[in-house]
Amino acid sequence: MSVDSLIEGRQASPPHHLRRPGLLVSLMVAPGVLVLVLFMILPLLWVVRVSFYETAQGTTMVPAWVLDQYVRFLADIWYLRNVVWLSVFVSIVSTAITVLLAYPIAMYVARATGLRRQILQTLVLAPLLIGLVSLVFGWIVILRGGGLFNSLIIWLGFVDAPIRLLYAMPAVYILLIYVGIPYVVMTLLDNFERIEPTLLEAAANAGAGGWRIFASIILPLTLPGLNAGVLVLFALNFSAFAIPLMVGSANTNLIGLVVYKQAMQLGNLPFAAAISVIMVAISAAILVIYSRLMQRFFLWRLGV
Amino acid sequence: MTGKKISLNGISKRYGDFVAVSDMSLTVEPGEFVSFLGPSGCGKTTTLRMIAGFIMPDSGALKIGDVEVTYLPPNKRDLSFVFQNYALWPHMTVAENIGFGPKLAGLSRADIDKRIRDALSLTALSGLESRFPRQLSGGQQQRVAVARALALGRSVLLMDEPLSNLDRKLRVDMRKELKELQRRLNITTVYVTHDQEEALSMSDRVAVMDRGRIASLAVPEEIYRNPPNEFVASFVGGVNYFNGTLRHVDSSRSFFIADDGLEFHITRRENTPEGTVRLMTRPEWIVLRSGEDKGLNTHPVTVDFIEYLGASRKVSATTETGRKLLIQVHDVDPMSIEVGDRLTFHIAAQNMMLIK
Ligand SMILES: Nc1ncnc2c1ncn2[C@@H]1O[C@H](COP(=O)(O)OP(=O)(O)OP(=O)(O)O)[C@@H](O)[C@H]1O
Ligand SMILES: [Mg+2]
Repeated sequence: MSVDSLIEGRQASPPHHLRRPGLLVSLMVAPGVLVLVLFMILPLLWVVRVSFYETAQGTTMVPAWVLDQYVRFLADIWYLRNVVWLSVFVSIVSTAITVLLAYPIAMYVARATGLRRQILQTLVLAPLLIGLVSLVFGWIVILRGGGLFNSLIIWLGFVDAPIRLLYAMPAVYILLIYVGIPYVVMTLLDNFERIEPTLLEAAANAGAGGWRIFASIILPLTLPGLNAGVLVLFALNFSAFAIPLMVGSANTNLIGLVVYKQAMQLGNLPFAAAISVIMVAISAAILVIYSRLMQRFFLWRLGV
Repeated sequence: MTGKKISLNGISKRYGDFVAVSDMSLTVEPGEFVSFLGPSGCGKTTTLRMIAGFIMPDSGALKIGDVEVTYLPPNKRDLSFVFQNYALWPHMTVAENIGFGPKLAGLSRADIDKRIRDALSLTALSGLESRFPRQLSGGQQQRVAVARALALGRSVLLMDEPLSNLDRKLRVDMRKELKELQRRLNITTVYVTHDQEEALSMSDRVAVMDRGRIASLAVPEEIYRNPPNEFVASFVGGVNYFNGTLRHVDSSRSFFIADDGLEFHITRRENTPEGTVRLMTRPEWIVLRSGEDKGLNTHPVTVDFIEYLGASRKVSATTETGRKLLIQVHDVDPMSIEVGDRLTFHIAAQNMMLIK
């Protein structure tokens, strides 16, 4: 038997009834599509529409088709530097740190079994279950001037006086990272579990020690999970508004927070809408570039 | 690549209270092909994985060549392993899978490429080097797994049911190829299977395992023709048992009367005791004849059931004394057999074997 004949003829086209969704399938899907359009697509379209409105006397909306709001934002170097660039920088750095911390955590949890595993998994997930406001209060206790962290580093002799963490950039980073870890751990855990143990044994048999197995087998095979985690995390961090609002300062104007302030505090909906559109566009552009690079350098190998 | 001896000395493995492998001792000679054959859960994989170092034994000692390796990690042992699920690295091409080990061994680029080329041509895979495992058929993946193991250039090859995921035709082809490859490379091989045909056809010796122990270790003909006990006898093929009394007639013949009164002359063998014994004969050692036939070792039977298997027919029949017999009739025999036929069966004197 020739080697190639073994794989030929395996990809026959599916039977006709599997190729096109039938009427029944269409009917079953219809309610879902309707909900999607009503609650997801329409609001988004509305935001896009409003971003082209004019504003009169500061905040009154006037229906129109103008680019005023976009020009106001993009032509202002202050916005570009202190909002757009800051947001890109903060979200890339916080995403990178989150991933570096989450990876070993996921690996550790993936190795545990039984009750230990349950406990570890619950601990990792806890931040997602508790709710952001409670978490922030917890961290305020830790980070504030006379809080646990400052008391600790003063007691250890690293500094003489409390350092400013809260209502400043450090607190924003800490909370973005803290809240992001569970997302990445979850996507990674799933990925770790799907690695066949025999793949690692085969590598050991080939002569690989622990580090080599990690670098050549485990890491490459968890890149899809890592990648999925990074995509979600970057999108979340880039548009974050609650964390910089609660623990940040006037110098932590992430783009999501600016949208929030314009819409909720200043009532300038067209301007907020335009910044939203810009935010989504930048986020999408960065994610597309990132995905392309991942695909180009690695993921194609796994056929994903 | 020359084969090295493998010595297992009193190897045991427990899981909690359950003894998976019990005091196993075995020597596989350089270049020899030994199969572990046995039912599911008898400890074949556990033993093989202990030799490979994926599991540590609770007690006992293990040597490869003259080197004691009992507690050596798997990446320090002079052996290669072929996994039942092949365990090909999905993110590496065929060539990368095969070249991984040689690269770790610190070979030069040219030597690595040569290893890859040689392994590919040995396993008839040339042309597929840049495919990923997912782009290969099951049979091709199996070959890559073997190629990857051979490219390591080790002196011992361990295989855990490497053919069990293939369809029957491919399995039969592959076992011949594997055996030829093994003989050509003279690599010491331990092969795990629960397919007796595979074990008998490929092995120099077969170790039949039962509940964590070796029930019998012998050459295939011996295992099949003269099994030491019922477990081995019935694991490697069909079997009929006769309880009865044995008496020696002269230096070459004995006389046997079964419990139900059937009489047989049988060939006398060394160390055969007289008195109460148990004999066995295989279904294909029994000859069916037309009803008029009389003579030595020939008795009447009635056909109960016929199973047509293509190459042969499996006939269930009952003697006049009420004994059930399993008889295999090869299809060269033009005799037509019907359920209810009254025939005779004949067992040649050398075809009744003593069993414990
Ligand atoms: N990690 C483990 N924990 C507990 N019991 C185990 C473990 N691994 C194997 N066993 C038990 O040890 C026994 C031998 O297992 P092993 O895998 O060696 O069987 P096997 O002969 O290879 O069977 P099969 O033909 O089904 O592959 C089985 O009864 C199995 O349940
Ligand atoms: Mg097994």
